[in-house]
Amino acid sequence: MMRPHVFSTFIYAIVTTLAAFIVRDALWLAIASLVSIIIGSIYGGRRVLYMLLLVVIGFFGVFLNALFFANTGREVASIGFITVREHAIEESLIVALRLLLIAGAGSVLALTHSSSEIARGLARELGLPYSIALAVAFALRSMPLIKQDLDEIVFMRKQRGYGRIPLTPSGVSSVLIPLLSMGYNRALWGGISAELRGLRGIGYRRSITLNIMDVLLFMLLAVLLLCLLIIQ
Amino acid sequence: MKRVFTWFTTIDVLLLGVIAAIYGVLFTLWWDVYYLVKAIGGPIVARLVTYGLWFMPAPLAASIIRKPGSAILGEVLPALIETMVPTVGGISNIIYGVAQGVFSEIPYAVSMYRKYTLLHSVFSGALPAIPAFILDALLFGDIYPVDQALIVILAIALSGAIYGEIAYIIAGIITGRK
Repeated sequence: MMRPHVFSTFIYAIVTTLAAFIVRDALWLAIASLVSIIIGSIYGGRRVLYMLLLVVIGFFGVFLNALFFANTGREVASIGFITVREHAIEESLIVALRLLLIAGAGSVLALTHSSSEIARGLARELGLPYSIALAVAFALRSMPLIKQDLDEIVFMRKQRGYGRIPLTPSGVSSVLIPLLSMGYNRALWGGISAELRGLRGIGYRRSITLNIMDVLLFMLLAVLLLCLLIIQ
Repeated sequence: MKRVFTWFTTIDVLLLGVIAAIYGVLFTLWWDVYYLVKAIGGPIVARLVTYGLWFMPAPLAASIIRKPGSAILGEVLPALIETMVPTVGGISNIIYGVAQGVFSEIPYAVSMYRKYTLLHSVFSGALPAIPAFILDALLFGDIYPVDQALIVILAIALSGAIYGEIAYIIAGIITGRK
């Protein structure tokens, strides 16, 4: 299936995410979320469902936030010592829709392309500095090794009677020190080896030819922004 | 654009890559811890306990690499990786990352990049509390009364300061520098 370029999905994702920070209109947020989730599901398939599940879990936190900080107005429901008021419901609905839009917009970028394609696309299509592109590429390449290191550290923690997930700053540092030490040495020797072989920054930017999917994506974005202007 | 960050050697860039990979993964996992602590202790305790880890890579990268821009890149790159993984936060991770990275860089910029002390690291961890609070207020509608807002910012800054100190200590252990 033909896919849009990284730069067009990146622009779509960043514009809609910035809009999610500002817009308070529930209808527009719902429409934009739906559009983004549909695009994400076309290219990402079932992976969108996993992301939506995480968003639904996040809704609980959003509602809790609204109960703490925006629980004003007319009383809607009372469960034991908790009283839910009108403003808390309104706030949680808007914030939940914003999170849905952010997740949907993110999925348009992240589920349309693989991580390495995004890294390459950001450098070639958007002109990301060579040093940043190299760091991102190295980070993506290091992930399986770091995952292996992390599993070993977690195993050792469990053997010593500590919890699997560190919750305190000292717990976090007990995981980070070995993880970073190994990573530091890997980066040091990798860097020395690359420099000895004469690796130099040769970042380049390619000219891009828009395909039909890029045009459709930009048109969709324009329609969404037009709808926002009309609603506002 | 080509000449941006040219003062970084390949080793520096790969170190930033390692920090980005480790924190990119940790940030993703840390959301579970944040929601767990929030459900138990409420939003202020959650910010005090967890927020600092999201500010930590900036002082860590600056303390290890000790070059201009290392704090910003230390914060932005894990956010970029977190966006690619992908997570629920999507592109908002990059927006937070850039804003927090800029504020993390301030203490080092003020000293004209001559000093990379514990104090700089603590401030580099604490200052991102300001953009984090503002962006949270914009996104989540966390508009508090003035007294509560001060408590929330202080909780975030304190958390960042603690993790900033840990970052400095870890950087010392890893590099063998005092």
